Amino acid sequence: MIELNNLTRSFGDHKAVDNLNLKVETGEICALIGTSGCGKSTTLKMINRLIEPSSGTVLIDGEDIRNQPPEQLRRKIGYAIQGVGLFPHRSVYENIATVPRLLGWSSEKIDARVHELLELLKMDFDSFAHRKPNRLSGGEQQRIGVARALAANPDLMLMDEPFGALDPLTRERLQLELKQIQKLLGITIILVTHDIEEAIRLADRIAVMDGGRLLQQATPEELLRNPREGFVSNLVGGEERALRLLSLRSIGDLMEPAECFELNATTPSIEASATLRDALARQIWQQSPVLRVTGENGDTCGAISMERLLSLGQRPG
Amino acid sequence: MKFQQPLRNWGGSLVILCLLLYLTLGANSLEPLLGPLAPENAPAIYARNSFIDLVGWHLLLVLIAISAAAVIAILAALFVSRPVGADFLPLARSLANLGQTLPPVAVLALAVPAVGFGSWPTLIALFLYGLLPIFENTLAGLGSVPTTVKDAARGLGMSPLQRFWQVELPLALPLIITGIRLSVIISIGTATIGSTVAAKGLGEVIIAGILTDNLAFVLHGGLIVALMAMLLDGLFVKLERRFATV
Amino acid sequence: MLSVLRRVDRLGLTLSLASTLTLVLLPLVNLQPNRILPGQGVALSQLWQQNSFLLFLPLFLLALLSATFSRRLWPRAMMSAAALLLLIIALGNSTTLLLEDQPPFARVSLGSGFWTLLLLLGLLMTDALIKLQIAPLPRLALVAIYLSAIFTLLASGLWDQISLMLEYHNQERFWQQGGRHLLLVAGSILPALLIGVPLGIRCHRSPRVRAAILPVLSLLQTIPSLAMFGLLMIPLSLLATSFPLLSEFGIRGIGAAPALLALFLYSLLPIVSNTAAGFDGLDPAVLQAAKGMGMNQRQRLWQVELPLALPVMLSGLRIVLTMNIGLVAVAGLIGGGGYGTYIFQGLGQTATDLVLLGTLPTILLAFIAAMAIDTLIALTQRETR
Repeated sequence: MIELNNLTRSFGDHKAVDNLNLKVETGEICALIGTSGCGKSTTLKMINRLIEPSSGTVLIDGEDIRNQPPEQLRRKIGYAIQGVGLFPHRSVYENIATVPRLLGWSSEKIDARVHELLELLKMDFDSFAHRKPNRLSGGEQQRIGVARALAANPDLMLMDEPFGALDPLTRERLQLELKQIQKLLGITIILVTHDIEEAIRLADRIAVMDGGRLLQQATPEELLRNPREGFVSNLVGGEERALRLLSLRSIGDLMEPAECFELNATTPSIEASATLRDALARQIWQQSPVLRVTGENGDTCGAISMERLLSLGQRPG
Repeated sequence: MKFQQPLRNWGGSLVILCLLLYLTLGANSLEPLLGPLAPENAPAIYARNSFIDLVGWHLLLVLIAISAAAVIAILAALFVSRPVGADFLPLARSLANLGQTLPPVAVLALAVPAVGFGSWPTLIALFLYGLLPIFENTLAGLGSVPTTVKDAARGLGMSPLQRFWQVELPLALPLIITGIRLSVIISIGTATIGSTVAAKGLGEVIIAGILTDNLAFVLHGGLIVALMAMLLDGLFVKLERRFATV
Repeated sequence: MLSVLRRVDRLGLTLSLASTLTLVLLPLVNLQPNRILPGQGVALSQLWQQNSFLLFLPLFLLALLSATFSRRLWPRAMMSAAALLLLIIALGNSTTLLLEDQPPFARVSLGSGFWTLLLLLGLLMTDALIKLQIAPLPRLALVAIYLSAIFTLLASGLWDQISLMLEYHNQERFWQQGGRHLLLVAGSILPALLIGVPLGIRCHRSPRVRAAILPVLSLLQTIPSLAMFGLLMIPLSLLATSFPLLSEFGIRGIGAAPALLALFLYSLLPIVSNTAAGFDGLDPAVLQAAKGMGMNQRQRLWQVELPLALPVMLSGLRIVLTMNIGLVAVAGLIGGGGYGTYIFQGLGQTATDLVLLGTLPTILLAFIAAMAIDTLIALTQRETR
């Protein structure tokens, strides 16, 4: 568990982070969101001591991070940033091996770990390991950035707008991959972003910041249902909230029994793992008020109607 | 990144100018100061030529050589940067690069067998060596004009000539002036060495001092040349700033 | 006819026309009555019937034709290279004949035609070499092989009748002067590197240090070399007269001490400012990643910052190396030694060949240094690609 207690950081008279309190449970993804200059990056950097707080404490599993030298602390925490920051003079392999080498791992152990990570990120060892970063596409670079951050099996990973520079398609694919990897490894991630879609898609908990203060922290659903007036409700959007709410849930959890509808061969179908938002989009596109829902094996396992979507996405209260 | 240099602002230039005028015009009043540096029974002030003449000759050599070099180098850079001269561009570029590794003193020494002693070999060496920095910087200046700007100028309906005079040249000008400044500074130094091949200029004071072990000459000549270079450097830097767009 | 004209390489055509005019109009060698007096030009018309020229002329023509009409680069490069080698052989062979009925002090010296041809053929080769875009190391190797071929020809005694080589054989200390030249260059650059690199890093980290240091260094750079040598002679010679012991160690107003000091001062600006620029140009994301992963300051400096800033730092070194090789020659004027000694002795005696004996090696050293550093820069840059 990560605890930020009364964390404050001033630059001169300006308080970049002002008395911030936040708890992130182990195994969670927590998104810090806000406009640029709201203090979210500063907060992140105080967790691996790239910036020291003016006052307040950071506890990781109950232990104050000031109890160990910053370099040792950082080697235990994964760190991935916008622009990736891969070392251009070192190969993909050497980049991933950076922290293990700093920690003095044996070369066999490092070799095994690099193989493992590239496999995890679906990159072929033989074709990628010995390339220089400049020979990779933006998405590939970012993947290697994540692999490098994960290299030494950290329990915690800090990510500072890691997908900010990517095109929308690549970004979405990497977000999905990241979520899978995080579940698989059970690590905790604290992620800084200014993209509410990204926060909703990835995070278990969203912390909204403005002017150095924490305005609200909640699960994505709660944030969309009950945003605080002002900045937060602007951020989550007015009417678009309905669509975002729908995008949080998968069809499988909320579908109706197939028997309630008269489904025939021309009824369009959708996979149960898709979101409610996808379902609505398909209904509009196919001009069909009902969709057949199919399971992994392609069998019909239910149906979803537009009426149901309308009620699920309605304005709370 | 720009940093204010104390000797490149107007106040600094004025101080240097005053010092320069004093060392040149008031040479004779320096006798008590320089006297201790001269060997016994030797004069402390160089008297074979007046200092005004020497400064004049020195500057005239630099002026003629660099004016000619600037005209030729800028035209050449223009030529190779247009489609007509494209065949010449790769060679010209690497020649300018390689040519600047040629020591100026070597160019000077090679000019002597070609044209004999006197001011001519110096003039030729100054001219040839002056070409390179101006050429290279003009090319760089023309190349630094963003394609978007050039496209915009074309899109606005400017003719090639208008594009050159109204867009490319003004944007390239600061770098061209930098090139001229570098050439002028190198020329002042090379012209000093030119006195070894009998060019008229301030070098003869320093060389006379070295040959007769007369440190008074060396100091006097060295100071004037150094101040002259600093003064011109400062003036050109101001010119660059005047034409800088950002 | 028009289509042929359109395929013509304009550069090749220009250089070919110039080469042809040079060969026809300018004297390839001069016949001098003695070492000092100017001689009489000997043009191609008096030489061409000799056997060795009969070998050179067809190849020369081929080289020009391929430079003008062919876009194939290897043949262009090889033929102009071969033509130059054959010209060197042809001239060597013809000297014996030219000197046959001459008085004993007569000499054959290289004429303006030869030097111009050397330049033009060199340009043809350079052009082909650039356009071939050979990788840096093989390119350096090619140049090295070609230069050693020329040196082998010269060492074989082929040119021993030509005044430049006579002059070389007269100067017993030629190679020692070369060693001294390089020693002065290295002796000024090494301390400048030791001080300049840390200073450059300081300038990168602190704008105040930069504002204090760089203007002073660039001011030093504007002072003409001879003035700088002269101005440094004064404190040094005052030191030497006050403490005679110092002059035992070579610290005197004249000689190597002021030269070394001046060269050291000149070297600081390119080293400091390029080091600072190299560090300024580092990608902030890379530095932040390095820090965030737990590298300490030393690890960041040696493993990340220095390797990435190296190409820019090396181009500073290139400036300093070529500049100092030239400046050491100027130091010959104040008794610093090196090839400058020959240049100024030669100028003093109006002995052209002695001037050349000092100038040519200086130029060659500067070229080789520049090419070597260029190769290094290309190699270190390739590291990041």
